[in-house]
Amino acid sequence: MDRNRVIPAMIEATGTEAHLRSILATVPDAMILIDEIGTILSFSAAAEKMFGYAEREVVGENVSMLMPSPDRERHDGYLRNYRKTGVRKIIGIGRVTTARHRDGSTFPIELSIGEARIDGQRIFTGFIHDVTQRQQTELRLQDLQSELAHVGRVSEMGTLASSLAHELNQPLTAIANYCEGAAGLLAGSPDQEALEMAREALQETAVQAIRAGEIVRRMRDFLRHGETEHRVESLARIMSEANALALVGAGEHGVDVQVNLDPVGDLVFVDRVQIQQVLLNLIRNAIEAMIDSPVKNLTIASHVEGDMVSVSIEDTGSGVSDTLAPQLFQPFITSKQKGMGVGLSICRTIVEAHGGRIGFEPAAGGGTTFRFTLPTAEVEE
Amino acid sequence: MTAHRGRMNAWKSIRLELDRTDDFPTGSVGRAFLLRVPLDDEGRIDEAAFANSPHRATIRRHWSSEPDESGHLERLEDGWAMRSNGKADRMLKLAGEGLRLGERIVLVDTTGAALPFRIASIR
Repeated sequence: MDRNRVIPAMIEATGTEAHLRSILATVPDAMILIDEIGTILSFSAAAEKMFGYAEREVVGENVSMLMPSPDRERHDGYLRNYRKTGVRKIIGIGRVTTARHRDGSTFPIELSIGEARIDGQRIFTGFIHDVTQRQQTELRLQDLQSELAHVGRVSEMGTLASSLAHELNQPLTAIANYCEGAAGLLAGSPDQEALEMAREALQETAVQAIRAGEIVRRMRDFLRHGETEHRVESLARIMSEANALALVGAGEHGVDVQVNLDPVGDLVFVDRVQIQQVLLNLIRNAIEAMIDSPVKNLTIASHVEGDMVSVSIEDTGSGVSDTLAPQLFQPFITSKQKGMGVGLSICRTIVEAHGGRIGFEPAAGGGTTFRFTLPTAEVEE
Repeated sequence: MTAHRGRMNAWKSIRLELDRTDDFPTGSVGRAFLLRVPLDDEGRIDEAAFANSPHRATIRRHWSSEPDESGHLERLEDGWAMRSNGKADRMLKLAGEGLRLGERIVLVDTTGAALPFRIASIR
C-alpha cells in the first residue's frame, strides 16, 4: 500500500495536515500505522523516542523489525492469517508483549491495535505504551498477576497435600481403632458396661468422621477458586506475555534476551496461567542471578522431544552453589535476601502436574540452564 | 589503573545496519547486526582484550521477519568472523580494518558474496 495515498486520505479525514501532525505529535503513547502486509506507513514522535528510529528511516520497513523473536518471524503469518480468516486475535483486544529498541534491548509494552479502511485499503493502527517503568500496575497486568497469585495458592496445594494427607490419616486410624474396639465389645453377650463403652466408641467414631470431613472441606475451600484449565495454547504467545511481565522493572539491568522457539512444538496442552507462572519465576531468577555479571545474556529456547516440548532458560549469572544444588526445588530453600524460597518448588509442582519434568545444569558460559518439559498438542499428520 | 580502566571501557556495543544494495536501494535499518567487541583507540578489535574473555564477544542478528540469531566473534588466521546459529550456521567475515561510527564495512559470507553495512552506533 502506498503511503502517498494513505496520508493524504487521513489528512482529508482529520481536516488538515497540521491537525493530523498535531494529533500524532501529542499522542502520549507511540502510534504506528501499517498497511495490511505490515509495511510501516507512519511512525509518531513518541514512537521515534520509544524505539530509537527516525520516521524517515522506518517508513517502508516491515513492522516486524520492532519485535524480538518469536513475534518477529511470525508477524507476517499473523497478518496473512487475519486476511484469510478475519478472526481477530489482538485487534480491539490488546495485549502485553515485548518490543525491541534499536540498541538491541527488549522492553515490555502494552499494545492496542485498531483497524480502519482508508481509500478502500485496510490499515492497522498500533498504540504502544511502554510499561517498563510503570508506577501503577496496568489493568491487564493486574489481571494477569492476580491470576498468577491464584495459581500460587493452587500450587502450594501440592506442597501442602502431603501434610493434609497425614492429617487425614489420624482421624481415619482412630475411626478404625474405635470400630474394632466396639466390634470386640459387642461380640458374644455384652454386659451393660460393655454396651456403654461400645456406645462411647461409636460416638467417638462419629466425632472423628466429622473431623475428617472438615479436613476434606478445608482442602476443597482452599482449592475452590483454583480449578486449573488445560487447553491447547501457543507456547510463543505464553512466552511473549511471560517475558514481558518478567521484564517489567528489569529494564535498567540491561539484560540481552534471546528467544529461539522451535515452531514445530508451538502448540502445547497446558494451563496457560500456570505455565506463565513457571516462566515468570525462572526468568526473574535468571535476571536476578545476572545483576552483578559483566555479561547478561538470557537465552530462552524450545525444542521437541518426542511428544514433549523441552523449554530451556539459560543465564550467564553466578550459577547455583554446590551446597544449594541438591535441595533447590525444595520449598523454603533460597539464596536470596528477600523471598520465601517457594518459587522453584511451585515451578516443580506445576510442571509435574502437567506430566513434565524440571531440572537444571551448569551452562557453558558459567551460568545456569533450567529446563522443563510440557506435553505437545501438535496434531500428527 | 588507567590502563585497566581503559581496557574495561574498550568493550563496545556496535550496531551495523544494512547499507544500500540492489534489493534495498536506501539501505535498511530493519536488517542489523549487534556486535559486542573490545576496540582499541584506532577502532580495531583489541586482540588482547578479546583473548582474555572471548565469550564476551557476542553477535546478534536482528533481521526483519526472520528469527533472531545469536553467536560469537571468531579469530581467523587472516581477520575476524561473526558466526551465528540460525537454521544453518552463518559465518560472515569482516572485511577491512577499523570499526568507526558512520563508516561502511563489508561482510563476506562463505560463498564470497559481500553485503555492505553502515556502522550506525558505537556505545
